[in-house]
Amino acid sequence: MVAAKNSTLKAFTVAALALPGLLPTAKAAQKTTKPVIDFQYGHYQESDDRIAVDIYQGIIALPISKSLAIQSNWVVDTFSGATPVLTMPNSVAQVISGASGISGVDDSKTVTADEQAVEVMTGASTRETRYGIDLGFNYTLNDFVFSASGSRSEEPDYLSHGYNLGVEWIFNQKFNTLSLGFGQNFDQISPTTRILNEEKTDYHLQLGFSQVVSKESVLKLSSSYTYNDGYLSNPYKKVFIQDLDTNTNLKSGGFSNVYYENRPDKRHQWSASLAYIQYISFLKASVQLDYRYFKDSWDISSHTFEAIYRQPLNKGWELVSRLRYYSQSEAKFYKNFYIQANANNHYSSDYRLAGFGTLAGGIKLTKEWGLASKFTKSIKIELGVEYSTHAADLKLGEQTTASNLSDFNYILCNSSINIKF
Amino acid sequence: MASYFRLLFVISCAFQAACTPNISPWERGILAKPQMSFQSNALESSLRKHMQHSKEASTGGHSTGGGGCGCS
Repeated sequence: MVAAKNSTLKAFTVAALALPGLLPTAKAAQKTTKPVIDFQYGHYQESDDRIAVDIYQGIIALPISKSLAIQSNWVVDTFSGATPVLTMPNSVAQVISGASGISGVDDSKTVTADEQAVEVMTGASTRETRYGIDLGFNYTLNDFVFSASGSRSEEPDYLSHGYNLGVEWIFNQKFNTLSLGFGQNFDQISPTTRILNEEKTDYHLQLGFSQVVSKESVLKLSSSYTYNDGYLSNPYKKVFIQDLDTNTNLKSGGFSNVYYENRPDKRHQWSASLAYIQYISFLKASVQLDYRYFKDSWDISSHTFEAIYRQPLNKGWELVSRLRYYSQSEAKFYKNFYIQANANNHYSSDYRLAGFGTLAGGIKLTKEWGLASKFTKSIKIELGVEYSTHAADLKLGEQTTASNLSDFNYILCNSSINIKF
Repeated sequence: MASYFRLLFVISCAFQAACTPNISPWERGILAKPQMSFQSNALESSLRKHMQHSKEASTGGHSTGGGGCGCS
């Protein structure tokens, strides 16, 4: 009788933990009474022989006691391919025939603001590997889950150390959760192509609230604040500036009127998100709708809409399809090129700071085997693919710097395995 | 001070009433289904967020962001 009671209690605890929002963030999502191992291979490919990335990731979660679990995540990613390094007026770019670089800048011509721009790429040989690891634990005490983790990420030109602390409170008969997280990252930047050693510090603050709305729907609200302080420029990106004072503190980019970009050294970022899941009884499926609003002190604001449809099929199969739309406005100092100096001395032609929109659609198939072997409770495999199109014309509202220079498409594939013991 | 606590009590009662749906423990079965979870695969979710973060200027959302350069 006692054994039966215990197993009922255990089943209830597991079911309660499986309730949406009852687990802290991704770090503790693997929380279980038994070990869990995850492995994933991902491949990212941009159109026109731009960047390709191979990503290998893993998670190991180990329960130490009833209330304490440790978890480690690791990632190795290798990227290769060409990336835009500079945008400049077409009329003055002395292009190397058959290549995407430039041999020089014709500084005898005067450039006007409405000229057509051209994107200059790096060579296709760029290749770099990043190694990242984090180690953390979570501790459950009554209705609270405390978590802490430390991380390290290393690549030839970038070293980052960080930590995250979090607490989640499960209350009101488990109909609600409230979570709070804080973290910091300490980064060192030393690009491989120039002599430069810079630092930056990030501070993240996160607040979350979830609510069971009905027996078939749940709601989650999140907000975050990030403060970046230090070297926030991209050390490889250059800008074209006409008639810049020769006493400038900007570093020369190797050609006439070409300099390394210079962004402000402080940035405040805010975001607010809303997610809602509704169960559809007659299909045994669910629909999730997400919205995020983002704003920062560089005048970038963005809207993200996402819809996810999950359809369980027979024999442990599940089909997940998703649609995502993203639109951002440009940074206040962004331009394709500058025909005169900016008063604040901030310049960037990085396409990430431009105004654009992205439309993406993806599909994912999963299969789960319960009690797959003597040692495993379940094995789950997943195959997914997502196609995105990134274009200036997809931006909401009017485009301030008309440019479809950086329009490109990309595909992201993933295959993963999850083993519960 | 007493009125402050009274106000806090009223607010918490109102919150409790507004945020407590009429669901019995045995009616929570659907909520425990995997398709009712906000994140079905932590690795896939982190991969997508990482790639989005390196192509877009926005951060934040339903999980905390991490480090990295995103230089390319």
